[in-house]
Amino acid sequence: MTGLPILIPFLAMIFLAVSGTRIILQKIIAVATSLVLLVVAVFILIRVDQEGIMVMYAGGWKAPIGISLVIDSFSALLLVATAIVGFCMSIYAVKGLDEKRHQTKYYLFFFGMIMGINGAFITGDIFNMYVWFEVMLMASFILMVLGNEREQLEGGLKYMTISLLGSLLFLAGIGILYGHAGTLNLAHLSMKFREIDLPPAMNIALALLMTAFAIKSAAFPFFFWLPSSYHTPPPAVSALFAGLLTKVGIYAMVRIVTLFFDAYDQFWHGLLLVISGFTMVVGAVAAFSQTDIRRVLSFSIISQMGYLIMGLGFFTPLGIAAAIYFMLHNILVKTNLFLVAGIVGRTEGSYNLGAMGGWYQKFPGITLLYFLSAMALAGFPPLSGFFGKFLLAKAGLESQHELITGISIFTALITVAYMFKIWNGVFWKQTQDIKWEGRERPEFSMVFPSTFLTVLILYLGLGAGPVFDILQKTAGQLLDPSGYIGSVLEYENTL
Amino acid sequence: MNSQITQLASKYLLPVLIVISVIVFFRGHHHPGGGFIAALIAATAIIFNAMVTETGSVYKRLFSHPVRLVAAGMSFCFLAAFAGLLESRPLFYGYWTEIKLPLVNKISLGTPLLFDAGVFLVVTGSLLTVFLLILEEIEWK
Amino acid sequence: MEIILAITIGMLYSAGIYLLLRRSVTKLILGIILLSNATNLLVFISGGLTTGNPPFIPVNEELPPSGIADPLPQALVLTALVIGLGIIAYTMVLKYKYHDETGNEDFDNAKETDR
Repeated sequence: MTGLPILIPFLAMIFLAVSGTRIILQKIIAVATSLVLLVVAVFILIRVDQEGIMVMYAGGWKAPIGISLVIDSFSALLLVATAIVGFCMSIYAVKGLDEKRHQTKYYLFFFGMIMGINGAFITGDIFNMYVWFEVMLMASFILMVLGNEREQLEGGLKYMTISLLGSLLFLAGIGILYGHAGTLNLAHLSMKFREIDLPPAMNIALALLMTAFAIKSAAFPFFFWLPSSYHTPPPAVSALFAGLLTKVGIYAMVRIVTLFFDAYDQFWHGLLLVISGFTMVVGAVAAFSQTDIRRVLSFSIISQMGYLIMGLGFFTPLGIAAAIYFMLHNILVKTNLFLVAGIVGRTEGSYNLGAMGGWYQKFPGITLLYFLSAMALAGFPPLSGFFGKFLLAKAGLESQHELITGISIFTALITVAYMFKIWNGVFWKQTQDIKWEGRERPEFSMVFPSTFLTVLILYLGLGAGPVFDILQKTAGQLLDPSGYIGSVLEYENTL
Repeated sequence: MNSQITQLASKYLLPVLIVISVIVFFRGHHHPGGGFIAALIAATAIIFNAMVTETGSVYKRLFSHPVRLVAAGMSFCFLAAFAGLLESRPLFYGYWTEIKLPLVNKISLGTPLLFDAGVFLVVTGSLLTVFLLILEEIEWK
Repeated sequence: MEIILAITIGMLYSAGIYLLLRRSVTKLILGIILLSNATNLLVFISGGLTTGNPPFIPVNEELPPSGIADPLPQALVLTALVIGLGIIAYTMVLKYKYHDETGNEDFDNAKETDR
């Protein structure tokens, strides 16, 4: 059961590898697999919620010797979010991607990436996490340049260089960590961090790991690779990246901070808050100054990352729960916005805000999809972004971080501004001289995933109460790692 | 590559290297060796052969397209990983049996060996895919 | 021995970062190769160096003798090397395709996606 989120995409990859150029077969395999994956992920979430943390030792080698696979409710929630995005994207790509890219096996690398992401969420071993990161990165490198267009190759070169640098820092951190602690199991490492006085070199290891994750999650000084590469591939790829890739970095950061760092360590939590403030403001201001839809949304990803890091920096139960809520909200909303941008760009043939308009009259349905997602991102009640930002602000005020809370509210205002910039440019603006004849209309299979995501976003907002109950339990699990350590090492409450 | 010496060398090296690769593969579980190294040796032999002849004849002599080798290897790995789950044992649980053979006394066969065979096929297949494509693209002199 | 390797790692890192900061795409790839080698060496010596005692169990014995080298960093380095091999192959092909498509070798001219 625990290994299924890795094994199912792997099985699909085998079939896709031998499918040759039979594109219809590939599409059927892809949609069926992602549906199965979604069902399995929901099943895992229910089981983790009822029976507690699921642990499996690969090959029967008990922790801390072997590699253990661990699913706690944080992992399970993210598995479900990944499966939802995977399901939507596999349907969108059926019609939303050209034949040429399907022939070079888009779906094969799609499932490679899903497998890497799921693996990173599941594993309980830090070196294994590095391996899954690399699986995910290799697949994403290929997806980034699939189609070999000039722009894509240039974006791919920039993306690849910075990601590789991040991976190498990650690996160097793992090396130093192992050299001093003598173990790679996350739970065992966490126990060592709590019990033994570790040498100062461990701080270097932690700094290397945090830098690596900051690069992956596009936090403040390391965000520049994202806006110069994310808009180059077609929307079927960039929506997948926007929804999932940066969140894996945040996931790893949350794991490391909650398991390794001392709860009263002012330095790291203060640093996280400073980084989050800069990330929010810089991303939002830069997003407002762009004129390409996809670049606005790319900078917006960076700005939203700041909120997640801020919730982690508060390090209170409410802060962490709000950050996870915001993460789920962000995965769904960001994917949906890129999907809508993809539909718009396909019909318009361009992504430039100045050159389009009148969508409100022509396609009211798609306008509604955009409107709901944009309002959710901007944070209007009763949509999901409002609750995320409200809870984060509440957590900030409760833990007496007034300045950063103020910055986050200020950023929310800029968010409203740039979401309305797209709204005006594409949907609301009246233009007489646009000819609609002879353009491709949006296909049903492209609108359906977006509708599905919008329904989920509405549920996340309107049903915030029950969702938040699960999240508070999750935050409790994260803030008190003794449960995690206990179930991995089978210790009886040694902490 | 038109040199007589390399052509002759590759002709005789190919079978020798394949045999070495099989030996290295089977001693892998308890001694230095294993699927990855064996695959590197086998792929080296085939790529060396492709450099002196032409890629078309190599494609013909392989059992199938290298990508299918990768897929076969991946399915071996999948079976080895999945075998444990059928008896609700953990992933990658190792099952072993021993077979007595006339020449080499006895061999231990098990799911880890199946996994290693999968690694062998994946590595050989992917290296061949990459290098044969590059050999086709660049004119080799 | 550790000191010599530590200095080597430092030199590899500095050379790698220097190459990474050059404008040429080829030198960037060389820089990545140097950096990944430096990192692999770092992981390798992180567990401490043991000379002359490879981590093998002698024939007819159940347990390894005491004082053997730690096999785990070696396994980690092997994994990292394999991943590195794949990634370097990818960067080479990407550079080849990029040069094919644009004829550009200078990062100062690679500003198209940053506008």
